[in-house]
Amino acid sequence: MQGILDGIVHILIQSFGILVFPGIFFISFLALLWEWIDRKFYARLQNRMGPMHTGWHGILQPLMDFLKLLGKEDLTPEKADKRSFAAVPFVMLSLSIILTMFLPIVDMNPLVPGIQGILSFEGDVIIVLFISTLMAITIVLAGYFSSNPFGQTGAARTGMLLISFEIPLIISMITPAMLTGSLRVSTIMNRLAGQAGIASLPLAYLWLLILPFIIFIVAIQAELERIPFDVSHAETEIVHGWQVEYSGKKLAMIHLAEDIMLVYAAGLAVTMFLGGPYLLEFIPLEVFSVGFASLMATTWVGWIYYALVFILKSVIVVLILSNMRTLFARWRIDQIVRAGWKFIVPLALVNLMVVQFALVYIFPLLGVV
Amino acid sequence: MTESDEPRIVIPPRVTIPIGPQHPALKEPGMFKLTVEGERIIDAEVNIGYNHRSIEKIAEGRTFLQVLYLAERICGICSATHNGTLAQAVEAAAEVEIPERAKFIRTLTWELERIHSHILWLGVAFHEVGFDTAFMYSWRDREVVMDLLETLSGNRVNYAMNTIGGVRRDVTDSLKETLLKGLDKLEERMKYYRDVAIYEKTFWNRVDGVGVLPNKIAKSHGAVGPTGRGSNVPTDVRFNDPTQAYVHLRDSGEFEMVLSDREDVAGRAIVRVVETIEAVRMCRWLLHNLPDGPIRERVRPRIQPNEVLARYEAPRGEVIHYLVTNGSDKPERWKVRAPTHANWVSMAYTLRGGYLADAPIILAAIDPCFSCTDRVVLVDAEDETIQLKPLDVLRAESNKWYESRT
Amino acid sequence: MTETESVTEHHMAPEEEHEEEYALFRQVMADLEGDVLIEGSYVHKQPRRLFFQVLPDKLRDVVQYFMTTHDMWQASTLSGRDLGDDLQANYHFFLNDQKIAITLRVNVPRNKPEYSSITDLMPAFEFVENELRELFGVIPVGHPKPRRCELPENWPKNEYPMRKDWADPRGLMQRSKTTGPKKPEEY
Repeated sequence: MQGILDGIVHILIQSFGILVFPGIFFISFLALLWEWIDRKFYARLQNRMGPMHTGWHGILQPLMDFLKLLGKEDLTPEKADKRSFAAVPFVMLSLSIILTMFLPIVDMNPLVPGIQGILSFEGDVIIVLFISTLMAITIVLAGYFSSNPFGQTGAARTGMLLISFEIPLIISMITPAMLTGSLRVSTIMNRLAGQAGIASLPLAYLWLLILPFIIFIVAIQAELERIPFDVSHAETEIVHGWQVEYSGKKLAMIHLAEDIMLVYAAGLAVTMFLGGPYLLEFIPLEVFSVGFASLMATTWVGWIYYALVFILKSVIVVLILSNMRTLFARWRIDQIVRAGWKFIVPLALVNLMVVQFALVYIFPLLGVV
Repeated sequence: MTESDEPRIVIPPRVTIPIGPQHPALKEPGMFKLTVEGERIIDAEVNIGYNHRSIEKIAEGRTFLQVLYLAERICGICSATHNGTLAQAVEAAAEVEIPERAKFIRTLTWELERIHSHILWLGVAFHEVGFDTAFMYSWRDREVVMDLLETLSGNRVNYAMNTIGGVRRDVTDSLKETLLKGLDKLEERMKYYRDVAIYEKTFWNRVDGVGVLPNKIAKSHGAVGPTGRGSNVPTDVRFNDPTQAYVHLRDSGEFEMVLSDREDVAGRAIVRVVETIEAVRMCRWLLHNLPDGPIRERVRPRIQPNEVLARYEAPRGEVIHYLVTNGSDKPERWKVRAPTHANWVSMAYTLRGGYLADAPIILAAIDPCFSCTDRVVLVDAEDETIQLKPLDVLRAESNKWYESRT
Repeated sequence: MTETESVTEHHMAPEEEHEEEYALFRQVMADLEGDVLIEGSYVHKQPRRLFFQVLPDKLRDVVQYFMTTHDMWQASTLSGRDLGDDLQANYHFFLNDQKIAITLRVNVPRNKPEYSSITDLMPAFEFVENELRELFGVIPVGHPKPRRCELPENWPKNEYPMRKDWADPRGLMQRSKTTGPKKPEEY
């Protein structure tokens, strides 16, 4: 009897985790909040006001945009491959939500030391990278299914973007995996942060993370198709490219999926490079030692604390990404491909060699293993 | 020799991409049919005529004073251009010499308009290459010159400064101070934008070597204004054929025609930015040397039979008003050639061979002004499908509709 | 328009202060004797303006003469005119070396308004020659790209709106007169 009850409670907690917190609802909330922060910060940097009217300083504007799009007429072009055309927004939305499930925001599995995401297993870094590549391929398909010249051009450009910036993205994420010797997102994060009773890395290793972090930020900007890499939906050239034929509910879903991708991108940067949802633990005080972690891991205070720290760190990454948007003009696709293959990919490879060299030769020599 | 021995050449599919009549890169309707292979443009065709207003025909039934305000409506951005050039044409036809002070004020309005038009272009160019931050900044600073024009003429857009025989508003001493103060700020900001345009790498990469218009082609295809000067074609009416206070400006020797031998979009951008700084300096010179005296001369409404070719360098290039008078108070024939119309011919040439991504900035580089271009044509309202209604009829009907609802 | 009226349009310039213009004018008139009519060619009172009346079949020769002898490359525009019996095409050029604007004008009879196009010599006239054909019905023969450029695509043939005798069969010009308030019965 007790076992059945425990099982039901466990299932309830798990489904609460997936559906509400830190799952779909929380992620969608963050997605809309991130869009507002992104728009507002972008506008203020350009000496504009940004959204002002809906809610406090327009904080509800992204939600209103989403709801408004839901109520708009939904058109499908006559020449489009109708079923696939309709499937693309669903696929994009579900893929982006699955991606965010891998982010360790709060501890979903207290049995394993350290914070675990909703989905967490050995080798999930590979799955994350695979799905994020799949997202880009979905975009290419979206452009081709709409059978619009602008959409097809946008799709072709997305493909070019994919082949030039997916590789540095993957290489930059391999570096933390190499340093920690694991292919599991939560293990990488917990070992880099050195928290929750997991053996930490020597501080010297952290220097090796600076260059991959920069490469990661640049590559993720390309992955998100934001300025200066927004060639695939440059509105002055090809009128929002692959999105051009989408309207109404489908467009709403695509926008939400893009916002969730921003949550995922910022969250991944936090997880892989910035130490995840740990903050106070880094302060070398008696209070924040092992007892604190176990307290946080078992009570609801921990959920709020970890979520807040995650939000704080993500906002910093989002602000960095928005700031990049203001600084540049849009590159041409050939310039992007050239820059990607001439500078970013070689840089990533050199970085990989340096890390391997340091791990095998230098650190044992210095005695930091 | 079998078929498999021949090298297979894979030709990317040719797609015809229409830019316009409605497109985010175009602020007004015009159509550019681009045939692209992958990202390369291999053919381009320019279609215009979507914005027909038949201004030249309407003008034949109006008096000169009425046409003056009609001319202002040819274009919103260069309204003082057409207004002033027509006034100049009518004065030349009547053989009236207008007072020196009126000439200076007319020129001052023209030059202020040039500043505002060039900053507007700069913002559009930044926007076309996706540099929205600089676009917002430059349009914020354009407000300075818009405010100056408002204090000078009372209006932000259609200034209505010129009348036949002079100008309508005088420049007082306090206004002069305001203008000088605003000009200082403008000069400082424009120098900043010049540096942004030249030293900002991502912007420069998008305009450098793009939309090349060789000097020879520019000459034979009749490129005018900054488009021509960006290809080292010395066409500037202000220096070649000066009228009004430009005679004094040229004689002062402080100003020179801005030319660039880069022949690409970057050249046109540099010409425009440097020209704006020159225009600020010209405005200051005009204000410092403003002569005293009356601001207008009386002109009889009936103009003697005459034919006049009035030219002026608008912000976009050479404007031509060919006016024939017949002794009555209405023009016999009035022909307007707006600068954009001259630049269309070279447009198709510059588009060919470029990238699709560069098409918007190449299109924007001539600073197209469609409403100027399509002034001659009539709206066919009797056509079967579309029923066009004058604005006041529409307004009356909408009022009726609202009344019936309540 | 009668002969006497069209003469009064031409305001000859005095010799003083127009030396350069007169020098060029005399040289052109001497070089092009037979191609250019004396009547209708003159130096205008406005500074730096010359007008030449050219025979329709000699237009290409005259343009070529200017292009070779006077290095004329700046084509300004082309404006049509309705003179009653004749239709007129005014080609405006600018000589950048001498800084003089010249106008070459061709009169073609109303019943057969044709002359040879010069677009192949100066591509700048591509659009304006099309415009002239549409609005005045003056046909530049040999235009490389004849097409509709300004008028709507469904504009009826043989209707040339800028001619003085265009009757406005569909009442289009009435619609332009929207100044001032209208009486209620007008709606």
